[in-house]
Order: sequence, then structure tokens, then C-alpha cells
Amino acid sequence: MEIQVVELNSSVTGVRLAGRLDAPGADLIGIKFSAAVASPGRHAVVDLSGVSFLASMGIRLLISTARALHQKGARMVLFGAQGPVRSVLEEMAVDQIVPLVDTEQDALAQLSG
Amino acid sequence: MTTARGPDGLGQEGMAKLLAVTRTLATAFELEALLTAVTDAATEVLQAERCSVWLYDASTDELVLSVARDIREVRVASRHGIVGACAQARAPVFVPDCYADPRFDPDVDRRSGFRTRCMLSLPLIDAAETLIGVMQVLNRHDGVFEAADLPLAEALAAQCALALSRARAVEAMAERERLMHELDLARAVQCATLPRALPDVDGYSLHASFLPAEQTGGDTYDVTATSQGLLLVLGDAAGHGLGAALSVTQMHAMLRMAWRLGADLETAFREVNDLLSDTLADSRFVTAFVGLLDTTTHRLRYLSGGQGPILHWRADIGEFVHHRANSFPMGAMPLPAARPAACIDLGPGDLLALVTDGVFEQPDAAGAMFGVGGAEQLLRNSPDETAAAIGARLLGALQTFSRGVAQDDDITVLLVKRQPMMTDARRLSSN
Repeated sequence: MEIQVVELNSSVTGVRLAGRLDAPGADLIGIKFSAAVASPGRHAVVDLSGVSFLASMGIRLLISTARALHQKGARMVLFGAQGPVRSVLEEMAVDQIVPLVDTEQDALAQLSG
Repeated sequence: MTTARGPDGLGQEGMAKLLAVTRTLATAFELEALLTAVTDAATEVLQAERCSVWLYDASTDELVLSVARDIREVRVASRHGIVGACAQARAPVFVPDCYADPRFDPDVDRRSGFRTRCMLSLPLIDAAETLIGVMQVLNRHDGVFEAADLPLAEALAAQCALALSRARAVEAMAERERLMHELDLARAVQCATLPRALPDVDGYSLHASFLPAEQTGGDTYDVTATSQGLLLVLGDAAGHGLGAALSVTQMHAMLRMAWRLGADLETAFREVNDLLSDTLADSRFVTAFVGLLDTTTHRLRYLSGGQGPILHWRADIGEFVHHRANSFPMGAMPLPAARPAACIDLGPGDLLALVTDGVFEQPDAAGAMFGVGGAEQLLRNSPDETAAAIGARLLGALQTFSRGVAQDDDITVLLVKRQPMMTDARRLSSN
């Protein structure tokens, strides 16, 4: 499991995740992921295009991080989820609390909207 | 002043003192008591004013000052200062004049108010050649530490390392026992919420299985006849252990209370969601299916908070239809308004399968997941099969699939099968 963090603009952090976001994957990147998007007042967009598998512990990480951001008045948007990863997010209705869009541009538009 | 030095290093007097120390160390099992015994022994045997023990923390690659007078815990990188030099070289380090040695860090002195004049640092290495830490004896009463002190100092350090290693093993064992006790408690809490028996429902065959994981995964289920219909609940709290078991038990108890107070499905779901959102920690939530089946009209009204896919075997077309969760996981955040329930109409011979992700995510020895497809293959059924027979087939296949692999999440399966029409097949015996 890999994680890359970039500052997309003055108010949005971009995070690119790649690999299997299962229990070992979530353990591996959990602290870094939460810390990367935890800056007060900054939104986060998360690129899931490189995630090949998403299990319940990965979903837990996404939801708990989105919740923590929400409590700081910021938002998180997911984009790029493909195939089974997108299906899991939709089947579990995670997209109802963490918006799921196709591209980074859509994600940034969602935040400015 | 009496000293322990002998002409050949470890003289008769030194040997006697060492034996006395060994006896003392053998009786102390708790780490804190042992550390005190170690420092007392070292100051006495090596005629030192003080003794400090640094324990090596492999998880952070740091040395932690664990016993020293007048100072609280200090952590330094494992290469820092004289203590780090001793740990890296795994060899004694003599420093006759600390303030003249560039490696010496006077910070500890500043914080404790003690002035270190001379020092002997000894690595503590156990029988498995693992670095346990570093012992430092400070300020020899009658001068400085010399090579002649080494045999006694090293013999003492070896004894101390063994005793500390043993104490750490005892502590780790106690921690494991504490965790096991916590897990037993979690499992007892969780199991107490499960129904003792499934109700008999005319025209339906029911089955429920719950296989808790060793680490307790936080699943629950319920099947109860209520005035509003047959209540079906399947819940799975995020995470493992006591926290997950308590989260799901809390959800279950709130739902039961809502029903007892006569709440309708939509109100009960929203109220419980919002209460969980208020009370659960950020990292906790519960995926839960809550449904009410009218066993006369065969219409199931449900709200599913993150529990999906819901598998519906349509006997008329011989296929599974997947239904998504129609709300986010319960407790993840408040619901701004009551959500409308979704409906599934169960036809003759149809099967509703509610399955927690412990089934879908169970790996085989090669790491491949059982998957939704794997479950569906086994849930395909003929009209005359009972829910119990279908459940047994699924769990049997899952057991075979995962042979040799630990089950690390709870596995819960709830099956509701509507009996086929009398003309289609013989009537099923109720479960």
C-alpha cells in the first residue's frame, strides 16, 4: 500500500492511494493518511484510481478520516475509484457521506460548489 | 572502604556479592521491582554513587531511561551519547571524566541536579543475544572505574540482563492474558444480545449462524416477531475487540428500545443512527440492516446502513439480485431527515441472504478472498431446500476454502427463505 501527499492549492490536500486497502494496508498507511489530511481548515481529495481492493478496514479508515475532517469544518471527496472498489463504496452507501466522483477536476469542483 | 575488586577481577568477595545479587534478582518478577533491585545491586557491588538503567525500545529504536533518581522518563535515539555508543558497540564504555568527553550529554545531569564525574556503561544482553538496554554506574566512591572492575561489572550486567529479559517475558504473558480476558468479556457481551432461538413463521424457513472470530469482530443479528412484522437485524461494528462488541451491542439495545416504544422503521433507524453518531468515537460505526417482513404480504421494508450487498435469490428467474445499502453506515454522522425504507417483495421460493463481510473477505491459504461470487454460488438453491441446509452448505464450503487460515473477522449469516407454492414442491419443514 502506497500513499502520496501533495498540496493541490492553498486549501486542498491531495492524497493518492495505491495498492490493496485492506486490514494490513490500512494499518500501514492509516496514521500517515489521517495526519496528511488533518490540517485545520484544509479539504482533502483522495485519488483511489490506484486502489485495487477495498475491504472493511479500508472503508473504516476513509469514513473515520472524513468524520474527523467534517468536525473541523472541512470536507473530503473521493475520486477515480474503479470496478470493484467503486461497487463496494456504492453498495455500502459510503458515497452518501463521502462524495465519490470520477476525476480530480470533479472533486475540486465539488469542494468549490 | 571495602571494595569488590580482587587481583583477578572477580575475587572471592566479588563472587559472594554477585551470588547475593543473583538470589535477589531471582525473587523479583515485576519489572519495576527488578529495576530497583538491579540498580541497588550495581551501586553496592561496584561501589558507585548511583546507577541508571536504560531499556531499549525496539519499536522506536530508542533508549528509555527507566530507573534514575530525581528524573522522569527520558528517551534518546539509540545512537545518542555515551549510552548510545555502548548500545551500538554492545561493549562496555569507560569514561573517567564525563564533562571532558564530547559524547556526554549533560542534559540528564541538568534535569536531575546530579553531577556525573565518571561513568561505566555496560550493555545488557540476554541469552538470546538481544539488547535489553544499557546499565550505567556513576561516580565510583574511591576514584574512577577501571579495567579491574570489568569482570564483576560484566558478570553483574549478564545477571541483570537475564532477569530483565525474564521480567519482560512475564509482563508480555500477563498482557496476553489480560487481552484474552478482554476478548472473552467482549464475546460474552456480544453473545448475550443474540436470540436464543429463531421464531417459527408460517410459510418461511429461517436460519442464522454466528461464528465469532478469536479477536471478536463485532457482529450481531436478530430475528424477532413484533407487532409490526418479523424484525430482521444484521449488524457489524467496525473494528475488533471489546470496543466493536460494545458498539454493536449498543446499536442492538437502542433498536430494541425503539421497537418497544412503538417507533416505526424509519423513525427507529434515524433515532438510533443519530444516537450512535453522538456517542460513538470517530473511528467507530456500525453497518446494519434493519428490516420488517410482513409475512402475509411477503413484502420486506428495510433500511440498510452500509450493510451490503443484500442478496435476493429470485426463484422465478433463477438469479440473484443485489440490493445496495440505502443509507451510510450507522453512527457515521447524523441523518438530516428520516430516510424512506426500500422494499423487496419475496416471491415463492425466494431467498433473502444477509451476510457480513467476514464471509466475503475470508481469505484462503493463498490470500484469495471467498468473495460475493463465492457466496452466491453456494446460496443458489433448489425449491425444496431449507434455509438451514443452505446455511450449512455455505459454512461448510467456507470452512474448506479457508482451511489452515485463521478467521480474523466474525462470520454471520441470516437466511430467510419463503417456501415455494405447494404445487411447486413439497412443503418445507420449518427450521
